[in-house]
Amino acid sequence: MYQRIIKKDLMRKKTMNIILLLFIILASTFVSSSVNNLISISTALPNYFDRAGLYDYIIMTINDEKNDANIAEFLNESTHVNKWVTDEYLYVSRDDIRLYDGELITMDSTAMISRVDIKQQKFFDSNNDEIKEIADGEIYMPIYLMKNNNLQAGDKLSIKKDDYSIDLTIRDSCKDAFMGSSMMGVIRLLVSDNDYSRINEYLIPEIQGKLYSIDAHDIEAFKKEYNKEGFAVVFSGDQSMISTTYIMDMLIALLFLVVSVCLIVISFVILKFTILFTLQEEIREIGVMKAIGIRSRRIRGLYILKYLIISIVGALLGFLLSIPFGNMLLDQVSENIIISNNAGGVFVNAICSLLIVGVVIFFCYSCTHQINKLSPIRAIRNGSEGERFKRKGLLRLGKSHLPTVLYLAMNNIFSAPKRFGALVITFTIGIILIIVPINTINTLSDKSLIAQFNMAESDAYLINESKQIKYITGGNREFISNDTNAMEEKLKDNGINASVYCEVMFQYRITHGDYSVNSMAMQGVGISAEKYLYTSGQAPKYSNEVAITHITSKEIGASIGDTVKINTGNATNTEKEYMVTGIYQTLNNLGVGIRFSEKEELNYLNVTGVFPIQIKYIDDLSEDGEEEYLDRIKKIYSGLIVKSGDEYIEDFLGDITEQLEGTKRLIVGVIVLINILVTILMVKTFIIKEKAEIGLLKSTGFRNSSIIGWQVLRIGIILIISMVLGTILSNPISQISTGKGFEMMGASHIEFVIKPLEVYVLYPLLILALTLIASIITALQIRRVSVQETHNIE
Amino acid sequence: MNNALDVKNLCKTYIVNKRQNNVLKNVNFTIREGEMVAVMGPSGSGKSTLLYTVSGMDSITAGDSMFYGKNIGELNVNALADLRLDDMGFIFQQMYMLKNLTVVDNIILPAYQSKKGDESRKKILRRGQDLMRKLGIIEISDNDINEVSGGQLQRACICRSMINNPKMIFADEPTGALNRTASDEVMSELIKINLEGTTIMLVTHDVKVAAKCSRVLYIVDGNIKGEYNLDNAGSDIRPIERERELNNWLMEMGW
Repeated sequence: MYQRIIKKDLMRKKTMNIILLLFIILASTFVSSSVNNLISISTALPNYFDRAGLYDYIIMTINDEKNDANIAEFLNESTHVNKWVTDEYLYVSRDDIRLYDGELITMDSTAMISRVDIKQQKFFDSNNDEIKEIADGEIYMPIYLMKNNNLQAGDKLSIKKDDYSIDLTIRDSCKDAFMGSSMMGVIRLLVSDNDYSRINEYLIPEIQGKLYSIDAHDIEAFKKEYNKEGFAVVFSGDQSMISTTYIMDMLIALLFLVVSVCLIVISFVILKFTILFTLQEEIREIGVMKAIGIRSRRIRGLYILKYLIISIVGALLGFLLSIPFGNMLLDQVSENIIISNNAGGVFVNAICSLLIVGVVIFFCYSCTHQINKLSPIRAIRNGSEGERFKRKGLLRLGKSHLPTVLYLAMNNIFSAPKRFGALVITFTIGIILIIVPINTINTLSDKSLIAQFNMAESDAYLINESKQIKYITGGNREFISNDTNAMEEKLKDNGINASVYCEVMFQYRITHGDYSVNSMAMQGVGISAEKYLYTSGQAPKYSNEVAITHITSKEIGASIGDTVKINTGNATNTEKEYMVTGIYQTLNNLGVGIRFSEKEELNYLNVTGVFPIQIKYIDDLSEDGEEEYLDRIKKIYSGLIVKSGDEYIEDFLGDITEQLEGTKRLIVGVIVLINILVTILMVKTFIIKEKAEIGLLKSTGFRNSSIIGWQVLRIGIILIISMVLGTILSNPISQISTGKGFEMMGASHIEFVIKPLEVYVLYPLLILALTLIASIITALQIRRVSVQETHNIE
Repeated sequence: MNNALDVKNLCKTYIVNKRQNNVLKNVNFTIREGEMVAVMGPSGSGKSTLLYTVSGMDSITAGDSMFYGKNIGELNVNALADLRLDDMGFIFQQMYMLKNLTVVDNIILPAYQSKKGDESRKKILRRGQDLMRKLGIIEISDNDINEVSGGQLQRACICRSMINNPKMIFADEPTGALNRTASDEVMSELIKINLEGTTIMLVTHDVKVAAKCSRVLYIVDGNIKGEYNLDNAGSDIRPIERERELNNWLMEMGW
């Protein structure tokens, strides 16, 4: 008997049951894929490094036999080292690499040629398969280099020097755990053993170098020991430092985490709403069943069984859909790193789908609780007492100046706010999900972001690779400052008043009391330390002053006015005392950093890297004026690469801008789809529930267009309310979500770049338009509602 | 006197589960302007279907229903909606109203929606209140629909049907859900409206109600089996005799 009741019910209320089923499928898909993605993203880098077999610590040197011998001796003697291996590499100048058409390759970093079968790590192709061997005449390169040069697999390039040339065909892009990020500053190209030997033999690269990969059983103790030595290295760092070069990839991943969390919230809100809504439909039947003597427990069991059947079917379908949906989102997270899809495994998806079944049953159980309390007649009267009810309408038509249809829509919303609450929450989350990522993306692609890397904002950047290598290897500050002074003169001769400066990097250990940390240290040549941003205190003015990042400050417990010790590798190779004068923030090196005054005489033999030469116009220029200056500089330095601030940021962040655009499009696409889907289902639900009212309006002479207008206006009003709420909430939520991400990377005070036209006008209008179109198309169904439906009014 | 409604060879067929159900079979009748006509018949005879089909609330399968010269079957949905808004009024057995609106708001809603005339909203509201006063329900004007009795609500429904000064009112058992006192009150209001010139077609089971009309159509199995003219419709003269006369006729019809 009860089986027959359920069977009949499932068939008779087909539309409502299908809507519920669809929402359960949606919830199951979102929750399963999002939870799995949360696991995948949060463990992405460690898993990637693990898969690549990256060692605990890596040191890069350039050919210096004595230095290399010292490092080898140190590693052999260190008690913290389990094992260490070494690989060779070659530096090739950008000028030596030509594309098939003879054009120079566009590449801001130095190129490093390596074999594929090195001991340091494994490499992976675009399909995430390990690259085990490379045929002669083939080359692998990072995806961002291919994109910057519009290269595709199969394209050809050549490495030339004087009369000798080696032609290579691009096999595929490669994923390189150590140097895969454009922020690493070096591009690794993989060739076959034979080609590597030919390049080494015939092309005579300017620099050869060594890569030391160290497996330490106590990495912190090893670092402490290593930092006491003063080896000349190009790079030295552990996995956490390498992780910092992927900050942009991880920020995108963070955006997807925010999206995942929001999708889970949307799922539960919609689920609760739908179950409440469908159960309200059943109340009258519950009354009838009670009236004929069926026990409350039986009735409740009947509905729970019905929802169990629907939720099992929905969860199963959602489980199946969650795998491709999750993969689609993850594929967009990063092209540079391997994020193992479905890291939690199918098991996690299955558990989440089961959780949805549990949630549905829980919602159903709590919503049917009232069955016990309801008297049969109250249930028949749809939960009302019969005589007097609380006032429902809030707005008065007689006192309103609104058009009738708009009035009806407004009155509906304000009279039953709970009913429309689920829509408001869903749309608001949708708007937040658009604004937060777009603000983050715009912040990441703005030229002012350079200040967050503790560099002075500049109007132009001059990339002179051979000079930069000389700056690193020259060991002479005057050499750099003479160069920048000469460039200032040259620019002045050409009518450009500008200051020219260069940012130089060191690796130093900073100590305060018992605490110390190995830190990236910066000093500007040709620029005062006052030109940089500080969050508190002042710039270091004198040689015995430094500014430190707030993370360094936290790590060593030093604040403004404290004295810290740094071994800068000076003549006596002893620690020197410095007073902390200011605190700043940087996205470099996980936020750990030191800035010296330009007056401090540092040992330039210890330089680990230099940034391109920066040019800041002294003249106050319009946008056109800046462009004209840039053109002139390009002409003056025609053999070199000259970039504007925006262009440099774009290159500095690698193909991240393009990835960010892709992310933006995906997020907007997903949100628009969710909004459309939710709108269609909600409007359909409302039409089913309001058939009688629609019939009544038709009987009093309302045209179909007016009734459609009433349905659509409600969605429109809710959407506008949601937009206002979303806009208000998006700023604090940005600070809580992605702001936290920036903070983790080292920038605790991020000013989000907000493009009001894009964020508050363009995208909201797009969503409004598409959602309204969806609601109009769905509301067309009211044409099929007959006037006779008036008789079903409650 | 002109014809308000001219029905010729009207057929209405429903197809349920591939089974054809001919509810109305070649129905012919005319209602003249200013008349108050009752439709009676046994349950399932097609009374309500006839009312909704001739008024355009339901589609016509075959035949014509001419409403003041306009062929209802040939009008599109918008024209039909306009006709319902401006020229027709409907009263149902159940007092259907929108839940979130007060009684007066429900009444004036069609007038606000109508484009007939350029009356200000204030005037419409006043007219709505006047109608309520006339029907003795002004005190419930600002009440929610759940706060009033059935009789009051049905009178409010009459007010709503009257708000756009329709040419004709279609009423489907307007007193069916009311007690005798409330039923008498509602009928006396309808008679007043009819005396003021509005044509009325109503479906009823109640002989007392039908006896107050000028003419009664008796429908059996989708066909008009007969019609009966009552003198001095609406007047209070000899109400018992009118009822007795009608009762006798209905008995002859097989009531």
